[in-house]
Amino acid sequence: MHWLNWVIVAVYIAYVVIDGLRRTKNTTNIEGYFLASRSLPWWAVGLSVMATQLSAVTLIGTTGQGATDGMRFVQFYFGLPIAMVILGVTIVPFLHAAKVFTAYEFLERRFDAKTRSLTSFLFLLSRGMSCGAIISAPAVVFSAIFGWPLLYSVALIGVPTVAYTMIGGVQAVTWADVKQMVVIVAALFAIVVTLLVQLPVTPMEALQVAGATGRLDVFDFRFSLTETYTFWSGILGGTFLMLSYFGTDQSQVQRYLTAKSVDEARSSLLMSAYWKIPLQALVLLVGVLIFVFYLFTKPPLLFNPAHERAVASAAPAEWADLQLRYDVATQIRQQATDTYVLKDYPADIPGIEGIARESFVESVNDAEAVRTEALALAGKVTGENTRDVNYITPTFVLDQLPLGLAGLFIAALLAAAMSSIAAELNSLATATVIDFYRRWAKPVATDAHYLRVSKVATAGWGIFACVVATYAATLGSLIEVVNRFGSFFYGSILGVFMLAMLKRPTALGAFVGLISGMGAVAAVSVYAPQISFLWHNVVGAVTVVVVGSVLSLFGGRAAATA
Amino acid sequence: MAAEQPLKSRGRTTGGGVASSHRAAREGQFDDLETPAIRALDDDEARPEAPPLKVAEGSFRVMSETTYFRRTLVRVLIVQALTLMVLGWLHWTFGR
Repeated sequence: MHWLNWVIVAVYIAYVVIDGLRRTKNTTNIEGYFLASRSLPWWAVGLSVMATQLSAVTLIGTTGQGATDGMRFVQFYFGLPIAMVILGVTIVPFLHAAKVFTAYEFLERRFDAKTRSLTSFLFLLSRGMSCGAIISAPAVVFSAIFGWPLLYSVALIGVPTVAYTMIGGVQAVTWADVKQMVVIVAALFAIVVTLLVQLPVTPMEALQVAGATGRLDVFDFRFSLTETYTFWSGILGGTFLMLSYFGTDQSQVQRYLTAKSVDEARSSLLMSAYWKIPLQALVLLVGVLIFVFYLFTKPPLLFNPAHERAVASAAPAEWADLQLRYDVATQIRQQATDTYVLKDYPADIPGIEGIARESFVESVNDAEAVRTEALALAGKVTGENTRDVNYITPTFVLDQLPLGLAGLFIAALLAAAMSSIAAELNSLATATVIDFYRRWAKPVATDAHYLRVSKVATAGWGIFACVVATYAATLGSLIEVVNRFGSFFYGSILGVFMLAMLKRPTALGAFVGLISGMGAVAAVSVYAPQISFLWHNVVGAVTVVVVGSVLSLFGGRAAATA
Repeated sequence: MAAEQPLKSRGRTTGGGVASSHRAAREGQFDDLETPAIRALDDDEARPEAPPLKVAEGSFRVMSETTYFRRTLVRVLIVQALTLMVLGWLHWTFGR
């Protein structure tokens, strides 16, 4: 990469860290450190909520998914706006008025300490792991592309983030998120503009080409429990997932607990309700346009340069053969694309357009078949997962973007990673200190003491996440890894909060319901692995509510009889 | 059944007898009185637009949440419908 791009990246990192370190206002007590003394405006909180979700996984994984699989992933978010409205009238006013630090603290007031501790522990477990996966995604890509040891890449992302989060607390996290969101959106638009300028066809023709390969098939109306990305799983399963994520996950709850009032907290969530789906569609569309770009420009056979080097040196003859076949396949594909798009065929032959379209689609499939063989060979040689979805966008950026914009994209990638990690480290430290240290270990101490412990906890979770990041690299598609970690617990925790808002449920009912919910999800995962993980949230939440309500009913009658 | 229950508010109050009566009406304690004014309490459309119900610090009932829910849901659904229209245009115009 050109030195000017590195200067942009260095300036960005320095700016975020220095600005974060300056934002220590109101951080002399734990309410200031963890909740900014409940003083932040809705728009800053709203941007922080969006930046927290928009991780580096989104920028490289989702764009890659757009390039290989098309737009259908956007269905995953269809439940989000509905979930935000429901949360605005249920959990948000509950938690804001209760003046709690963590969502789980509320559960002790409603039920008992063990329910609070268990839900908080599950949050720490799932978020601690996913935080590692979020660092790992860009770190692995940086290592492969720039040839750095993985540890260096993890340190590049982890060290500055831990520094400003530890010193500045939630104020630093939120205001850094605001700037990071601006950088991310600017980088996305820069890529779209570059693509539209560099494509040799008009935008409508580009969409026509992408559509012929099924990459613009946005909706899938089949009702299937095994397909993850369908309209119905997005609306139903997605609503439960988003209710769980935004309503019970401390990394999100803590964002809107920093808002000035209930109305500002609600408004911050509504920002996501309005903008999340269009933003995700834009991210996927970037991937789709990159796919179209590579129809006219020969792409590498393997997008992961580390795997390419490994295969070329370990199996040179097979690699050369695959390269040759891929050259031929991409040339045929380019000709077929030109013919289809430019309508370079006699128009008077009936059905000729359909034939040109089929011929184009066939040529795309043929080139993909050679790539699949190359990926299999890379897997055999390296023994690693060789899915290279996460490398498509970075390869395009570094090879094709003009000077300066590549630096902006790398800065945006770091911004996306940092914003998500910072929010999670901050919330992990909050749950550790408030739900465990202050609750069980040292209930009475000065604010200065808790503040010191909070900073140590932030640093500790940062180190833990970096260690996890070095091992999470081989866990497969990183998007699904993050969602899978959460899906085992999210639905069940949502179920407990649903019980908390009803009058009858008892502490015993809630606790046993929670255990049953997780057991039900585990059973579904083991005995019906074909069922998509999105439905696990529904299974978990419904089981907790049913078991908790029934137990509470019988428990209440038994108490009344006694 | 309703007549046996005392007409008092439970939990935190929103201040004053009006709010207590409002809650009591929602809980069905006035069901057998059947006056138009009482029936209107359950009917947001029939009730004249009132300012949001300001409540004491710490209370969970912040405002007329049914109204807030309806209005926000309508706004969000309109925006989502517009988004889906754009996505639908991509799907049905260019998709397979």
